[in-house]
Amino acid sequence: MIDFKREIQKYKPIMEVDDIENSINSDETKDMMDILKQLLEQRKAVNNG
Amino acid sequence: MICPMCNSFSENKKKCSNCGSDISVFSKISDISNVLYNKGLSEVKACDFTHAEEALNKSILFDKNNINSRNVLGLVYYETGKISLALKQWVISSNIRKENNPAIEYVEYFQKNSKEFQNLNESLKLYNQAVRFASQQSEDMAIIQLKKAVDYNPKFVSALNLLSLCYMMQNKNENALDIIKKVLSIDSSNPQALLYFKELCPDGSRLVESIKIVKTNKAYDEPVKFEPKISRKSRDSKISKIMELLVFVAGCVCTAAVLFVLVFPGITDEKQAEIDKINAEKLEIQTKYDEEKAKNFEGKVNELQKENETLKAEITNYQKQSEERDALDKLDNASSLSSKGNYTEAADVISSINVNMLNAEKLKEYTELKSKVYSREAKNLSTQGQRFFNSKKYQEAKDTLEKSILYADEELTTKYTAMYYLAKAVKELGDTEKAKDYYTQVAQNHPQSRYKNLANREMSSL
Repeated sequence: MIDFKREIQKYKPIMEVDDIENSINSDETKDMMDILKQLLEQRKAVNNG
Repeated sequence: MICPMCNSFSENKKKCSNCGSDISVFSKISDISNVLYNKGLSEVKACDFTHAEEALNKSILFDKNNINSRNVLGLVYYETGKISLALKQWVISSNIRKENNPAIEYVEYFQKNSKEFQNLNESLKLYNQAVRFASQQSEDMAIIQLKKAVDYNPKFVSALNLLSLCYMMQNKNENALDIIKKVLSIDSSNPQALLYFKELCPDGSRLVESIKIVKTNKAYDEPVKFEPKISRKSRDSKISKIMELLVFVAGCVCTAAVLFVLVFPGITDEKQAEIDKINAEKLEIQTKYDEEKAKNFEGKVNELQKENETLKAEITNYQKQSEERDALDKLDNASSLSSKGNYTEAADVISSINVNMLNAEKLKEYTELKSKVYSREAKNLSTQGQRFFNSKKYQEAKDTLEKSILYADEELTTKYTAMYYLAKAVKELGDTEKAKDYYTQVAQNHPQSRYKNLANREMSSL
């Protein structure tokens, strides 16, 4: 039996077109490449230090 | 591949040929991202957008510059009605690679087709309103908004799922089931749709039926075309339309040239003749108008002059009547004063009467009154002047006696007696010449010889 109230809560508003620009500008998603690059740079700094 | 450490291209996938960094791990990450992209793509082809979305999002988490993943993820969003999320992916993708990138075409497509774009955005707004209504347990309002949203965008999976849920909450299970089938025909493994289906058909009998419906849907047998209405066919039709437009424009230019060379000169001459004729008529009318105007003006001036003269005559008449009335009033006044014995004031009033304003009868009355009043007043003044002289008030005597002479015009005795004393007063005031002149007149004209002798004697003493 579905709990309707809980099911309703799963639905969230979707970003509207007017908000695309802000969403792109504020998007600071890091991918695995970024994380790896950061790790390498840290290791390089430790070795040099 | 592009070395993430120095951002330069390296043919060696293990060590950067430019900076010498170990890029083998980066290479492996890129490969994983591509594997996930391939997985997502195959799921897209199977119309399993939910799992395709998951795989493609993971692919981007491994390599955010994987434009293939972003482009296909955008298409997945577009196919499920989330236009804003689709555009976001395409815009980011077109910023990563600005050439040979289909995302640029997708963005341009929506820039050119603003109406479709507005409809899709409107469906998003309506869906968001419906979410709010549903969370406030206003399923009726939510259903209204969701129906509108689905009208604008029939492939909007989230809106369809929420609509089916609202129907289920209202026990409209048949309606809900229809919606769920529609969702599954778009996204075959949509978890919400499957959950609701299971709720409505626990035995799964109708699920088989539904799957049959889905299987017979052509979209599942053929690869899905994701490019939003940008196909070669449409490009060819655009080119042919441009050619048609060019031919049409060329035809217009030729027609215009023929018109200018052959037709317009004739029309122009004819029109010019008409213009000249109209101008001549206009000039004639203007001349007539000016003449009429001049005539009217002249007539008006003459009329006004006559009116002016009439008014002047009236004014003159009124003035004459006024002066006549004034003269008569003065005559009455003088007569009244005379009858009261006030001859001095009566004489002043009589002297101010304009005799020209009196008719014959009044003139006779005036003459009689004047003679009587002047004679009396002359005698009075003469007596008064002599008194002033005897009191040695020579100046007062002179003024009074001069006045007496003026009034005693025909009363010679009074006149020259007054003149004799005037001569004496003038002599006392020091004007010998004037005194001599007065004595001479008295000696010649006084009716009484006594005054003549006295005057001669006084003259000889001077």
